[in-house]
Parts: sequence; C-alpha cells; structure tokens
Amino acid sequence: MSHISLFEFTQVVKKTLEKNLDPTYWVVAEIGELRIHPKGHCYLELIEKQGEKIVARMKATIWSYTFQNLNVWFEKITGTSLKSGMKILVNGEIQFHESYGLSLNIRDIDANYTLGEREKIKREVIMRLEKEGLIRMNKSLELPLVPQRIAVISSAHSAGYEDFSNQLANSAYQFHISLFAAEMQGKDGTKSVVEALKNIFKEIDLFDLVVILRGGGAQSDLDCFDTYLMGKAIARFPIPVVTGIGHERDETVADLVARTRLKTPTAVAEFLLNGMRSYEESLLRSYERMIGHTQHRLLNESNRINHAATGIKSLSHQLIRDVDSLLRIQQQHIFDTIQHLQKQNDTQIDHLTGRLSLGLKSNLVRSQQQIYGYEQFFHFSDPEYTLQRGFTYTTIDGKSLNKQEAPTIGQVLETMTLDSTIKSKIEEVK
Amino acid sequence: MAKELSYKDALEELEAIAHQIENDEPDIDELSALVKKAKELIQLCKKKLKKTGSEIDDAMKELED
Repeated sequence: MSHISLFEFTQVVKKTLEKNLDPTYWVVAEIGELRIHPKGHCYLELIEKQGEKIVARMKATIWSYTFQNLNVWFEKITGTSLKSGMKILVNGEIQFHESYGLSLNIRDIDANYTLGEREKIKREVIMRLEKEGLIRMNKSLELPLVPQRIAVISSAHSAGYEDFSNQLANSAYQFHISLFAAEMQGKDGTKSVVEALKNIFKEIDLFDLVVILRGGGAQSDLDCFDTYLMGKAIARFPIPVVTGIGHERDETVADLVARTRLKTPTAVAEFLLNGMRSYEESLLRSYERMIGHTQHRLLNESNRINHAATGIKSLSHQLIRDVDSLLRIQQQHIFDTIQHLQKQNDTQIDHLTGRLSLGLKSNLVRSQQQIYGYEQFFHFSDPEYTLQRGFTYTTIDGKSLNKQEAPTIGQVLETMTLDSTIKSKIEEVK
Repeated sequence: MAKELSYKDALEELEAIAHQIENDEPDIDELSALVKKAKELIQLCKKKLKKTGSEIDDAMKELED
C-alpha cells in the first residue's frame, strides 16, 4: 500500500486548503475562551452553539500588532473589550500549521456586529422584562422624601464610591451609608450585584434607598448590567434603586429599570443632596407659610376678640344703664307710693287728730259750760249774794217767813242784812 | 283720806244740790251750807276740767310732732 509521511500529509492538507479556500472569510462566532499572551498576542477559542450544545469549535489568533489596534478600536465602539461569551464577526484566513493544526488568523473584527448583537440581546431582555410586567416596577415606587439611610452596592475601594461617600459626608446633611460590596464587572458581575440586593432585602426596613455605583476604571465590561437577572432583580426591588454606573454610552438594562438613572456616582450624590436641599427649602417655606398663617390667624382672632370685647363692654354698659334707669324708675315709684301713702296717712291722722281734738275740746267746753251753769246757779243761790245786793232775809223764831203760820202782832222779826241783824216787833198784820 | 270724788259723781251731786235748792226751800243756813258744798264741788270739777284740758293739749301737741 502506497503511503506518505505525516509531514507529507500535512503538506497535502495545507496545499489543498490554500488551493480551495478564499483568501479570507467573514465568520460569525462566539468567543469560547480568550487569553492574552504576555507578548500581546490574543489566543481565542471560537465556538458556535445550538442551544447549550456546541456544534463547532475552532482556534483563532490575533497577532499582537493587530490586536493592539483592533482592541482599542473595538472598545471605543462597543464600550467593552473582547471577552468570552461575546458574539463577534471576524475577518480572517485559515492557517494550517503542521504542528499546531488548523487556526483562524484574525485580521479584522466588525465591532458594529457585536454592538448590534449586544443590542439585540439587550432588546430581548428588555422585551422579556416588559412582557413580564417588571420593567416599570421600580420606577413606580415613590422616591422617599428624605432618603437618609442608603444601601450602596459598589466595589469597596472604587474611586466612584469614595467620591460619593466624601460628597455626602462633607454636606450639611446627615446620611447613613451602608456598603454592600460587589463585583461590578465581568461575568460574575450580575451574580454579585444580585447577591448584594438579596442581602439588602434581608434588612430592608433599615433602608430608604439603594444606590448602585460603579465609578472610575475602564469603560469596559458593562454587560453584567444588561442581563435579564440584573434587570429583574433591580426592577422587583421593593425600595427605589438609583444607578450611577458611570458610563457614557446608552443606558444599560439596570439603568432602564432603576427608579432613577444618573450618570456618575457624583451625580447620584448631588441628586440626593438636591433632594435634601429642596426638602429643606420646602420645609422652610412651609414654616414661613405656617408662621404667616399663624400670625394672620392670630391677628384675625385678636381682632375678633377685641371686637367682641368692645361689643360686650358696650352692651354691658348699656345693660347696666338700662337696669339702673329701671331701678331709678322703680325706686322713684316706690318712693312716690310711700310718700303718697304717708301723705294719705298723715292727712287721715291729721283729720282724726282734728276730729279727736275737736271732739275732746267740745266735750270739755260743754262740761265747762255745764260747770259754769252750776257756778252761776249757785252764785245766785248764795244768800250772801242776795244780801250784797241789798236784799234782806227775815225770820220769825228762826224760821223763814214763808214757812210761818200767819204772823201775829208782837212777834219779833229778825232781819238779816249784809252786815247786821235787825230785830223788830210786828205792829200790824194785814 | 277718802278717795277723791269722780267728775261724774261730783256732777251728780251738784245736780242733786241744785234740785234740793230749787225744791226743798232750805233755810238760809242750809242754803249756805249747800252753796258752800256746791262751790267746793265746782272747784273740784273745774280743777279736773283744767287738768283734762291741759292733758288734751299735751296729747295733741305730741300728735302734731
């Protein structure tokens, strides 16, 4: 049987390949593995998957000189460096080395393809989040009025985190910042950030707000913020999430679902401070309004009270005057009545007194007249009175003449005058 | 001393004396005695009347005050 040596065989393969293949091909592949040689060469393993199954696999190389230019350009367009899992469109030629076998020597990479591819994936993620009703969940949360208790997800010593903390610490306001350190890039980025969110969730009552920071460092490797898991974790988080992922290119999924998206950690700090400031200002305004209202109200009330007081005072005075004049009228009335009664009584008494006096006096006069009558009577009855007037009183034998029997001659008459007694003899009786 | 005669009794006695003088024709001595008695009674009555008069005046004066 005719045969050739292995080397001869490799030469046949090599010649056949060179003869039948185009000089270069544009090939779409996924980067399976990637490593950079200390000398600057980039060694890759390209694969193609159907589902989870790898259906093709090939080694590829980007030589140092090419890689240096390609890499910078690629990063500039895509914002990320080449890495495993990435879909790329590469231009290269097949090289067959007798010792190392088949390999794709990459000359060029279409960064726009990767960009488009990544956009496509991102769109799919967004569409899924939308379909599952997650995309606006965190956005619909109210930002706390005064977020002071802040959970920060960041790598521990990143410049972004430092800036953020310093800015808040140097402000006039009090913030309580708790760091939940996480990997903020690479293939473990998603997992690490989601883990941090889970840890925050365990103490959810201690926080008002979550801040995801990623500042400084290369602009590369933001893919972990575009994953479905990242988007879902942030969207479903029960308190507002603010991102300050620090990149210039368009929004990541994380930014899209977060309550508020800001460009840099410094911007996040400024946002929080502004919130505080405007809250403080609104407090001050409220305070001033309150003072104003209160003063206005006090003035009104004071006026009302004064008005009422004046009213009460004048009413009281009026009332007192009314009552007083009523009292005066009644007093006068009583006084008049008493006087009238008194006068009536006086008149009556005077009248009675008069009658009494008159009665008594007339009685007395009558008695006096009676006595006077007697006095006259007895005065005229007195024999002495008769004698004084020159009459005489004659007796015979001591007996009055009209009590005598007929006087006889010779009898002695005894005649009494006022101051003498005369005796005479009867000489003749006729 | 016997109790003072009341005005009424004195008046009655005066009336009796007057009646006696008018009807009994007393002799002069009796008449003198009767008149003397009557004068005493009149004095008594006058005294009483005077006293009563001043009492009335006092009472009236008090009422007027």
